[in-house]
Amino acid sequence: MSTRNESAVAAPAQMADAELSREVELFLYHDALLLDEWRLREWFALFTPDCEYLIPTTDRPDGDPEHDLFFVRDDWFLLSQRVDALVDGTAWTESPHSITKHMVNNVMAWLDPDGSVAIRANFVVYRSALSTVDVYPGSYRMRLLRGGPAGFEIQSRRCTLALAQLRPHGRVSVIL
Amino acid sequence: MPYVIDDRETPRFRVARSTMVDAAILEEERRNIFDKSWLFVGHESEIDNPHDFRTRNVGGRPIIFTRNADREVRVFVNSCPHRGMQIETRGEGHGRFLKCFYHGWSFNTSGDLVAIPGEDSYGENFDRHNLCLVRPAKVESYRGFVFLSWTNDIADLQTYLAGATDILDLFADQSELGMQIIGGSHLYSVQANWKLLSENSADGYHALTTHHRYLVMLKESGKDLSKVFAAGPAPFMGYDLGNGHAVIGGADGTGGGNSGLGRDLSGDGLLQQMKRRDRFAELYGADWANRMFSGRNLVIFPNLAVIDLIMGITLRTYYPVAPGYMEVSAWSLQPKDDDPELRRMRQENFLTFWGPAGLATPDDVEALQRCQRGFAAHDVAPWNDISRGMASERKIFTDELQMRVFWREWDRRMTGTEHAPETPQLGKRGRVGWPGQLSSTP
Repeated sequence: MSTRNESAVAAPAQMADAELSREVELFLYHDALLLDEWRLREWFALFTPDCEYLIPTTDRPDGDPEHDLFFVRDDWFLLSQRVDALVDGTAWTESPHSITKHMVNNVMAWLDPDGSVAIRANFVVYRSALSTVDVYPGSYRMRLLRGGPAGFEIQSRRCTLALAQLRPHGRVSVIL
Repeated sequence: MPYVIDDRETPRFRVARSTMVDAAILEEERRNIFDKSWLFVGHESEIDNPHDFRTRNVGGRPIIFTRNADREVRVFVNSCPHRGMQIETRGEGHGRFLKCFYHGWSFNTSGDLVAIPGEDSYGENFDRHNLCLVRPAKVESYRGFVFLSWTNDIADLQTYLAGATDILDLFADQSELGMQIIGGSHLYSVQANWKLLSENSADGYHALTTHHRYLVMLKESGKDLSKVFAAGPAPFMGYDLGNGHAVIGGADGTGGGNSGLGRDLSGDGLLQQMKRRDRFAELYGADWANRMFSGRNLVIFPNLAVIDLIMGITLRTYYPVAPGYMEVSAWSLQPKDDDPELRRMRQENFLTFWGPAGLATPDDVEALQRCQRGFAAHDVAPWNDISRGMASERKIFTDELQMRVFWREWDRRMTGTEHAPETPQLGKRGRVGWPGQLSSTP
C-alpha cells in the first residue's frame, strides 16, 4: 500500500497529458456533483475494493499514514461506514446535512506505465450550515483506474488541506 | 445566584448555564483557574533531541517548549524581552538559536541572550542576564508529561496531580522504551464553552446515543459489543482522584485485553498484545496489567484529557478564546516499541474514533456546539442537571460523578465554596488494582 501511495504522491517530472487531463476533469466534475447532491452511495460506487481515502493533518501535509497522525485514513470498509452514516442521518454533525459546493480546478493527469492514472488537482469545498460557512481549500492527489460506468475508478484519494489549522472549522464532517 | 447547587439530600446537582456564556466569568476563570493550576505543556518525546522545539499556547500565553544543550526541558514565554515580538511562529522545528528578526536579538535554548546587534550603544552597565527569555513561574514533569504553572504559589506537580499520578502511570508504563507522541497534531476548535469538553471527555452516558454511528461501524466490523458492554465482574467505574481530577476506568472484563472499544485486533496483533500483557504482568503484577489493558478516561483539572479507550491513546488540551469558543489541540500517544502490525492497528483505531474527521469526535463537537446554542436561553432555562448516579453508592461509568468532581473544584476556585467529596478520594496507591472492582484474571 505504501508503494502505491508514494507513486500517487510523487510529482511527475513531465507535463500533464492534455487529453487525459480533460477527461479526468470531467470525471472530477461528476465526482463533485454526486457529493454536492448528497448522492453519496453513487459516489462511493466509484471506489475500488482496495481503495484508500486519506486526509493528512494540517501540520503534517506530507505525512505517512503508517507513522504520522492523520485526520482520515479510511479503507473501503471505513469509507462505506462513513457514507452510510452521512446518508442515514446518524452522523449527527451532518443531520440535517449541510449545503456543500466542491469547486475543482488545476486538473493535471498522467498515464503511468501500469495503465493507472495519477492526478493532481486543486479543490475548494464550501460547507454551509446554520449561520456559518466553512471553507476547505486543498489539493487532490488521486490514483485512478480505467473502468466502471463513469470511465474511471478511484483507488486512492488523498485530500491535503491548504489550512494551517482546522480553526474555526472544528471538523471535516463532509467528504472532500 | 449560585453557580453550582450541590444538594446532597434529594440528591440533585445543578450547574448554572450562565457559567458557559458570561465573559466576566471567563475573565475570573483566567485568574482563578488557569493562572493557578498546573497546565499541560507537552510530552518530553516531542522534543527528543537538544534544540528541538515546539510552540503552542498554554493558559492563553504563547510559549516555546524546548530542550537545551544539556538535554534539560525548558519552557519560555514566546515573546522577545526587548520589544515583545513573538520570536518563533513555526509549530515545531530544530535550532540552536531562537532569533527575533525584529532587531536581531538571539537566544540559546537555555534562554540566554547570546547576540545583540550594536550592544556597545547600551553603555558599560548593560547586563545581558537581565534580558533572558522569560520563563513560567514553574515547570515540572511527571513520567514525561510536562506541565507549567504561571504562579509560584502552588503545590508541587505531584501533590497537585494527587491520585492522577497513578492513572498517568497506567499510560506511561505501557512501554519499557517509553511512550511517544507521534508526528502530526489535531489542531481544531469547538464553538462551545471549554468546560463542556472537560465534561464530555469522561462522559460514559453519551456513548450509546451520540456515538451511534461509531458503534454501528464496530458491529459491522464483526465486534461482539455485548462483550464490551457486559457489566461483568468489573465494569468501568468513576473515581474522584482529588483536586478536581477524575477518571472513569475499568479492569479487564470491560472489553479490555483486546482493543476495548476499538475494532478487534487481527490474530497476530492479539498475539503481540498478549505478549505485552504477560510481560507487564511479570513486571508490575497481574492487577496492574489488568488495569493497563483495559481503558480509562482521565480528566486532569482544568483542561487535560488523556483517554485510552480504543487502543489508541489520545491526549488533548483545550483553552477558551471566548466563552463560546475553545481551541483544542490533540495528539496520539503510543509505545515506542510497538511491533508494526500492532502500531498499524493502533493508528487505525485511533483515527476511526478520534479527531475532527473521525467517526466519533465530530459528533461530540456537534453536541457541544448545540449545547452552547441552547445556552442562549440561559436566562429562562438556567440550569444543567448533572445528578446521575448521585443517589447510588457505586459510581459506574455512565454516572456523572466525574463531572461533579470537576464542578466542585471549579466552584471552590471561583467562589470559595467547599464541597465535601461525594466518594472517598483516590490518592496515590501505587501499582495495584482498582478499588471496588473484582479482577477477572484468575
